Amino acid sequence: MRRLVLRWLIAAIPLVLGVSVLTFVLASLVPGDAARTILGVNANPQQYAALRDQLRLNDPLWTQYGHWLGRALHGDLGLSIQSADPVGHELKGRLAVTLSLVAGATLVAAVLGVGLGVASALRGGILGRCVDTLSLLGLAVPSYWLGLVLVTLLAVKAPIFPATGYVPFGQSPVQWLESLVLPVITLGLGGSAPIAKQMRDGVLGELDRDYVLVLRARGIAERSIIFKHVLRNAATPVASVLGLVIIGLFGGAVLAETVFVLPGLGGLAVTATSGHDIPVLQGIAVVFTLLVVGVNLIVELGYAALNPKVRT
Amino acid sequence: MSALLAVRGLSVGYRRPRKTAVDTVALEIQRGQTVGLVGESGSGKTSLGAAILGLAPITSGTVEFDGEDITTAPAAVRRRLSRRMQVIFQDPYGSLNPTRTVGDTIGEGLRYGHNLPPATVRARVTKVLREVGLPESAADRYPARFSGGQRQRIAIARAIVGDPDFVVCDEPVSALDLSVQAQVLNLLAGLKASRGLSYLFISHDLSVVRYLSDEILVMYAGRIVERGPAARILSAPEHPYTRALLAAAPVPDPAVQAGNRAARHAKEQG
Amino acid sequence: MISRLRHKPIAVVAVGYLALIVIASLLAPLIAPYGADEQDLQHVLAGPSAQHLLGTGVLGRDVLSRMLYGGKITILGSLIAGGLFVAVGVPLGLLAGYLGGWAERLVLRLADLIYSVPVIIILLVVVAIFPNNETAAMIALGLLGAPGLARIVRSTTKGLREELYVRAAQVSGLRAITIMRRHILPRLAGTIIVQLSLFSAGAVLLETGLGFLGVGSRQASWGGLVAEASQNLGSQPWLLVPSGFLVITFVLALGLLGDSVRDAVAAQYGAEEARTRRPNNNTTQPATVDSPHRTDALLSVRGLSVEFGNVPAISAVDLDLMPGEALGILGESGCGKTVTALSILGLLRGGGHIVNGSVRFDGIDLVGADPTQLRAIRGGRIGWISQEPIIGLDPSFTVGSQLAEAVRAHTACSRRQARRRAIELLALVALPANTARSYPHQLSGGMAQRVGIASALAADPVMLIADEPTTALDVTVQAEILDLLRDLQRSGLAIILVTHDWGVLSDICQRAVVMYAGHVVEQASVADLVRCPRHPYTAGLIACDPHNATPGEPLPTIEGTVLESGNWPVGCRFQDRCGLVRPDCRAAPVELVELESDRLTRCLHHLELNDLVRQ
Repeated sequence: MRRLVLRWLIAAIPLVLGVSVLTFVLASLVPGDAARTILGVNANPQQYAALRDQLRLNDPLWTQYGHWLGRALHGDLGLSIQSADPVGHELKGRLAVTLSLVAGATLVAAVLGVGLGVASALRGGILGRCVDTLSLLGLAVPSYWLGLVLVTLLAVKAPIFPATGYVPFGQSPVQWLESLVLPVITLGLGGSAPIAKQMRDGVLGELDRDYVLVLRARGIAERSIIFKHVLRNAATPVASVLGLVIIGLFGGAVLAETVFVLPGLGGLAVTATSGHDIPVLQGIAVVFTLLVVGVNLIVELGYAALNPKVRT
Repeated sequence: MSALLAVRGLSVGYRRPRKTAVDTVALEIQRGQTVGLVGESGSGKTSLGAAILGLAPITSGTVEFDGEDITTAPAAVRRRLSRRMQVIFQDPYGSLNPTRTVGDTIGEGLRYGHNLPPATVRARVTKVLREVGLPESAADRYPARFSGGQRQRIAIARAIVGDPDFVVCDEPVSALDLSVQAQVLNLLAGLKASRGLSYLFISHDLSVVRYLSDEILVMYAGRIVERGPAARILSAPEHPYTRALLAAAPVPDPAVQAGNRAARHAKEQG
Repeated sequence: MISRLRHKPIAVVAVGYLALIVIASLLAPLIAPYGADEQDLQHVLAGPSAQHLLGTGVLGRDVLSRMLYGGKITILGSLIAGGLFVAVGVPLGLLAGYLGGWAERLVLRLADLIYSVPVIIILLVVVAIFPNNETAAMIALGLLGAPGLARIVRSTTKGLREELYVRAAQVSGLRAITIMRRHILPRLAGTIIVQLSLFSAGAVLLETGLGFLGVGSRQASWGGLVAEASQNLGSQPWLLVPSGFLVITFVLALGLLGDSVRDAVAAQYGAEEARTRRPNNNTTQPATVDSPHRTDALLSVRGLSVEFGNVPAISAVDLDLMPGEALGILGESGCGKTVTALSILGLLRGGGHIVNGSVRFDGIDLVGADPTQLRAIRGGRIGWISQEPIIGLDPSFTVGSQLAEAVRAHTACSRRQARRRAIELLALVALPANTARSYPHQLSGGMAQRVGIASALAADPVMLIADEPTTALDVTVQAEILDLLRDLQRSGLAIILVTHDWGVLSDICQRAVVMYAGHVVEQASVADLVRCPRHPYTAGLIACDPHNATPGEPLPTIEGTVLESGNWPVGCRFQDRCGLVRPDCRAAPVELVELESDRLTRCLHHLELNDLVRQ
């Protein structure tokens, strides 16, 4: 197990660095430069030169990156162009919202996906076709559109849930929950489709295997065979799919937070894009990468827990 | 006259996972001779055959074909060699591309390796199909239509269509039923006689190897532990492993088998 | 493959729909009723009407026209992204797969890197740098997706390189490029199309997503339509419908197309085409008066017939197993020996069902027995060993826990007692106690088979059914397993051994039945079968065994090949391959006849067999 964590660390570090380099290089392609953006078009040439010096814009690119990295490791991700606040500060306030959203959506996707997948594999018939249709729709229906439909039906036409806005947990747990219900369902439904499909394929595949025949020949109860043996083996590839789904959910959070006006990292990314606020976007990209890499680690550990061939 | 195939000090090693499959092996095959290579799983017999064909990583030693050193032969040399050296694999279902017709597969080497014109290739394919006991119409059908034994005949046809001198037979009958196996063995023996072929016959089945081979090599853990004329190996084996192998292989006669078994148990106790 | 697709209605409909949308978008300037930005301030946010078929937006702009014009942007964007996806991904993947080594490692690392970032964030960064520039975003999308395709292409290529027909082509001297062209690319084409359609589906969703967020193109777009709808949910929720419908159906069509291609490729390269199975028109069973079950037998089978669908697999099988004896069922592939063994315990799979016959054991008929009774007998009274020992064990559990589970299935005892019994069972099959902690993939074939035997004996059954238990093992390991089985038999265990190997039969079994084409054709002691067979098939089979052959002389063979089930003729099923065949063999079904006690044969002319054998 320790070897796994070590191996993951060795792989993760270049990953995060790579993403930061990527965004830094992309940012350097911006026509014009940060100094002019801050000071405006009619800037005093002396002020402009001074600011360029201060921002080290005359240094070679890799030196600039080095400085950025040094500061980043101390938690200083620069200043937002739009708000002039430290980027780290902006991100911190919004992290909890995005995490609540993604965590909730993951829960919905996992529970729904596993439940539907197993049920349709064991019962077949209508339920099976249901899962097939759900997988196709899960692929095709845009999450933002689905969110809008849910808002129309459950918030505008019938005011059950709030259409937009977010209430922090500390302020009112019930309202926090209410503000998250629609967004979580929107994201979770889409995420459940590939999980249901993989679970169903997995269970059906396992039922065909030789060891199931042997277990039946031993006279072991069918329920035991299914819930103890088949499910366990079918769950292993689901772990990888879950990892991919979670990464997709982080991306979907960008759209969901826009639809439901949630003050999370995704919504910030969109406003930063419209405002060409590169430092903020850089910061968000790095944070997202860290989150995703963390998720990957948990998925790998889960996979190892399920699959003895990896452990031994 | 020099040997058709000469292997000296050959070692084959893989890297991931690290494993020495063949350890300093030497053998010779004369023209028209069949050499049987016997061993259990992990003995290295398949790797040895693959190395001769240029399909396995040789770490030391040499392979000579008709006096020419082909150990590190580049693709162009292998292309030329393929007219004289061919292969038949064990798996009748995996050795034919399911989306190509039988005729396409048999003639592939001549058509795309040696660029013979289609008409010539077609004529050779027809001739060789007849030789292996399949109808001419088989050339236009797909492998899925044929049984395991018939597919093995197709694989044999592919091997001989270029008129080779030497064929590596890697467990060619192991996946076949007894009655089908007999037909294919007869075919192989017949082709050997009519075309003067040499075989390296790889198998785990002693009785099959004995039937077809002039000389037998016994492999264990990458080395050849015993070699000699087929009849002598089976009637008077010298190496303990060969003896154990012979003792363990069951004989299709209850009385004889009971006697063999008693002898084996006595030896194991003593 | 194209021909296969043409026959799939879903694929045809999907392609047709996609083509329709593409053409309509290209012809937008000609067929759209209004301009894309043409305002109609008289009819703002109106529902569908005669003038505006799909209603209007906030500035009175016709929805249908905006849909038509907007298609161009999305389609163009997907083409750019998809084009780069394939143009970069395929060569990378081919190189990585065929060359291996550093190329492979580089591509895999790159794919890992890209997969770790939600693509939309990078797209937002690109759009922030190149405002409202769809092309830039789509180029970035294509490049971001390419490593994923490369990874899949690499693994397919790598797998294909190991195929035997590729190796044969290498030995035949084909150049690497030729091999790639003839054997690898055709197979890859299917995979690439599947991945491309899935990627395009995702690309359309991302592109419209950018439009929805307002950071995409400023022109009329599908995403923009959804955005407009979102801003007017209270006043005109209808706007959601046409915009959503279009995107959803377009993406759905792409996804369905991908699925159809995937199925078509799988069918082409998959297992053998199902041979045409015509139902057997010969429905009359041989008119054996069902001889009564032997009361002294431990297990007695009479008239057992099994069908898969309505294709017969075995017909009228009779056999008896005496207490403590080892009975063999011998035959070649397709004769029905495994089906017979499975149906005794009611374990048939794949649509097989028993249509006739009875299996007497412990005073009850196992055919049609109560499921609870059957479950008690399975493992409790009759054990089972399968052919592939490692695959017959659950890979996720230790040997010890699986043995304990088998014990507790039939004996009420605590976990600790079951564990102790598991160790005892391991000792019974001469395995050390610490084997209990191993996982199946850590065992050798021989060890795994011993575990299989231990597991079969966990509940102390009185008989064992062993289906080719040593076929997958080396000959020295086989001898040890056979010794073990014989020892168990000596201590009272009765065994039914299914095999194709006369040597194994001679080593273990006292009596045997020989099966051919779903029938029992002969039953006798093994010594009699081998020395003086009374059926031409048995005689032929013994004769062609290389053990009995003389090197240098052609092996005696049985002419022809086995008939497929479903094509069985009236009369003797061996008629087309038999040297003794007469008109009466073809005329009517042949019954199983008792020659002496315990000696049965299904041949009308068995007396002439000596002459045939002597020839």
